[in-house]
Amino acid sequence: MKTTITLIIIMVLFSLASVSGAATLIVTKENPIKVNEQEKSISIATAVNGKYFYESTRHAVIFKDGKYGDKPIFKAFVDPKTFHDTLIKLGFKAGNNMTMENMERTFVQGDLLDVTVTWEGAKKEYQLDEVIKDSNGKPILIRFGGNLQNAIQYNTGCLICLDSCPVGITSNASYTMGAVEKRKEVAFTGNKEALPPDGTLVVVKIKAKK
Amino acid sequence: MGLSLSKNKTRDRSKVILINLLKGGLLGIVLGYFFALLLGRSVWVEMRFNLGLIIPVCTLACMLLFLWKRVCIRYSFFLFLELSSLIAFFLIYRFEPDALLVIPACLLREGCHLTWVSLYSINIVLGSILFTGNLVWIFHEICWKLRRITS
Repeated sequence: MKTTITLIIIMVLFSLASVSGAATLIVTKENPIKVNEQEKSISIATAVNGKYFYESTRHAVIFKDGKYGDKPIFKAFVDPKTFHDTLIKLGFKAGNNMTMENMERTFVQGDLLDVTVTWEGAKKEYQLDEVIKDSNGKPILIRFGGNLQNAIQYNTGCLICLDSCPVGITSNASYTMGAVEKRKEVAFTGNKEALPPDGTLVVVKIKAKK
Repeated sequence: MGLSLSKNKTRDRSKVILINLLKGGLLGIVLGYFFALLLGRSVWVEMRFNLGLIIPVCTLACMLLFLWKRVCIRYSFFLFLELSSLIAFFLIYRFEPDALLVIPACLLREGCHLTWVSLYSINIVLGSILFTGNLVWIFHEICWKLRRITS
């Protein structure tokens, strides 16, 4: 029995030592945001969450320390306020049309954004549509919703939601709130054929859609 | 003579306690996963609650129960639960073998807030605990049956 316990303890310690390492990209976990004023783009560091290759979610990108930090396909190292303020600084206009009352019948407004994803060893910059599967095959239309007050108040950490959201800084204008959880109109999952494995550092780039 | 007898008794008692803790722990892990997977079928629930937390809570609860009440569970019953959970898992995830290497580890990582640990590491720990635990339980049950036959 003693030998068994010792063996288990050794195995636990040995395996804890092999945690995943960071990749060398334009952003890192330590410096998670890079702004390109000429291109009017923001690049943020995130990590892939393998759970949502198999489960459905309504969150694309969430700040890791937010209340829902374990629920997105990409866990971000940037908080919603920094993300919001950087978008504003770059001249993007927020919709600020979503409220808790109208959320189930209103589509998010605000500037349309182009969201791409890349990582070390990736063949190209992938569009969000290519790395997140929409069960209806609709395009993902990310708009700058704003919602800073709600984001601070609810502390969910939401940066990019997959249906129009009164809390997320940006969200998908293709669906109204409740499409994923309540009405089951759609299911979103990470595309495991395109994305790297769980824990890989991934750069999410946001710029104006031409 | 009397001293060595009482020493043996203490050793036997601590052995029983350890075996009970192990059995309770194993049962708790399997039950915790079963409930977490079941509740996770609702996207609404999955998005709002840390379902992974069910696993350590169930494990601790079962360990305490086994320690306190000396619950007696046969290995065959545990094996039945283990296999049923595995079949349920494969039915839920449409027989994707890769899901077995991702979902259980993700749930445990979420439940224990081990965000800095890789899935590979969690899989090694979880696999080792389940494998060793099963072996110890089988070995203990064989020994117990042999003792009954000989006495």
